[in-house]
Amino acid sequence: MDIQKNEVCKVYLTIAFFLLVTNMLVANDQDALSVLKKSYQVTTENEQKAVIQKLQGLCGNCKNKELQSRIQYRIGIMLFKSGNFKRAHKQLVGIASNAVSTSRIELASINMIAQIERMQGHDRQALEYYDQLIKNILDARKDASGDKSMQMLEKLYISSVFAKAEIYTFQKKSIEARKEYQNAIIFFEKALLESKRKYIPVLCDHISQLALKIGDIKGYKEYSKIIINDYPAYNRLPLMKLESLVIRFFESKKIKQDYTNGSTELPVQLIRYVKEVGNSENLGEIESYFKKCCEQKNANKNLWLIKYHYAWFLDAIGKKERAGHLFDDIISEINLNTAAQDDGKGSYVKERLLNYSKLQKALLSGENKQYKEGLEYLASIQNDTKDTHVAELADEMRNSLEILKREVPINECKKQ
Amino acid sequence: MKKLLLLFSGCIMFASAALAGDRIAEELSKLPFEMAIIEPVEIENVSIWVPAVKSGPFINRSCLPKQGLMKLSVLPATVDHRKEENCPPSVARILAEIVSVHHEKVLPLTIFNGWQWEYSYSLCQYDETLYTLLQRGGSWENCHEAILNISIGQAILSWLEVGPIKMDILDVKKLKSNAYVHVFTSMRTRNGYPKKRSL
Repeated sequence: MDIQKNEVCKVYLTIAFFLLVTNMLVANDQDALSVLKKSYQVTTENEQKAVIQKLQGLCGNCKNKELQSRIQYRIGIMLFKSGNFKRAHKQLVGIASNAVSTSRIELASINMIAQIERMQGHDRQALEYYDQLIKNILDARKDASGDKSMQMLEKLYISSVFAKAEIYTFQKKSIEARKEYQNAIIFFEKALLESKRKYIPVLCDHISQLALKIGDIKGYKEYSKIIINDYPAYNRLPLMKLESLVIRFFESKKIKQDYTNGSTELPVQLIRYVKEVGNSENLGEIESYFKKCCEQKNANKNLWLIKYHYAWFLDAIGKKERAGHLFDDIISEINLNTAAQDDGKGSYVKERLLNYSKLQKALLSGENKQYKEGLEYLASIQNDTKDTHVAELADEMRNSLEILKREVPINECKKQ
Repeated sequence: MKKLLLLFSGCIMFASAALAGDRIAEELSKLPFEMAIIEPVEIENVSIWVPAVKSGPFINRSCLPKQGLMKLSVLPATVDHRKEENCPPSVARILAEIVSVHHEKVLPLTIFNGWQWEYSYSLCQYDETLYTLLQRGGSWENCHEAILNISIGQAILSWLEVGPIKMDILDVKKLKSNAYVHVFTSMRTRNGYPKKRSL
């Protein structure tokens, strides 16, 4: 009987021992999980350091491999957030090369390493990691299920492609940058319709600009034509049409132009040409496009910009009265549409167009001896402490008009 | 009996371990992972003709002419480069690098503090004009125009919260850096100027 009792006791002890061990093992994972959760709430630097230390201590004993790789990744992210790029890089490289990591964690880790390399200015390494990332995205895309996961992969892909192209652009490797954008177009041809509409015109615009910068006018035309024909809603489309007409004009005149800054300078180059050489017969097509744009009623920043160019074009060919009317139109339209295009870039350009239209109108009024009118335009310019040029020029013009108002009519009376 | 107990306890052990594993997997599936991406740098380059400098009219009331007078007209370039407090300096530096490419012929990229494109009230265009004022009301007036090249750039570091199962974006936090660049080129005297009058 005692022997039997002893046996049962042994069994219970063994069971208790195993349960204890199991609990200990599971408890470590549970602790690690709760610290991992807590890590999302830390805010101060000291808290961050403490949590990283705790996670590092718990990570090695984790039995759950997924939990382990998530903790390792989290440590990498926290090191990145604290600005410790070198340690973050080391941590993330370990995860990316770890066979246990899931493909998602691997993808996320490679992305983070590529960002770190780029942020540290290690362009060669960044390019290599972006290449690896793009390869992984293409693989993940095959297995992706659902639009949302596809959107995520597309976002990751576009940021990688642009990062590579931007590095090449800064290195003055326009051909390589162009190749990146061209590959992206192939990627997005198989993408969701929404992404296609969003990214393809932007990519074509970038390619056409790069083509122009290296003097490949055929390439510029090819890609700007895609936008003009297939993407009527693209926001730069009206300007692109004008730029294409200007290129055609310069080609017809066999005038060599400097295209190294892309197409955005073409309208001002045309006006400079007119200022220096005078009006030309071949300008009819451009002028009728200008007129067509001015007739459009749904005004926005790009249409005001075209109108502004047109006003300067008219000024350059000596039609100053019409130019003055156009500046007036721009001023009243922008004043009426204060809410339009109020994203940062739009409103910044809009403000400059408004102020310089007022300044030019004031100048034209002065030249036309309408000094009071000119002074009124100058008075309506709002003081912007950031834009010193506008403020200084407005002062100079005010002084000038005041003197002219005081002096010139007396002179004219004397003459009479 | 002993064997049965051992078997039973073994089952409990495996079951509790498996349950704990499931619980962890379930908890992990609710815990998003974060990813940082540098969004494509947004740049808008705009070039426009602008009235640049207005000088005078300067009038000479004396009975002697004034000769060899000089008017210096200067058009400085300006850079306004900022970043949000939490935006990493290196993201702001990348923005400066990308924006500077468009202006490299006239404006050097001068970085200080590791990221900031220096606020450079640097000279970009200037013109020196010599003029004479005749006696008793001689007047001289000049006007310059120039091309103003504006660049507005924005770099964003986006923190994405990604669902660990579906890989969908649950939340995005954006840290931004902005740059505004004004550079003048092609400064020229406006047609019809300088104007000489006798007032």
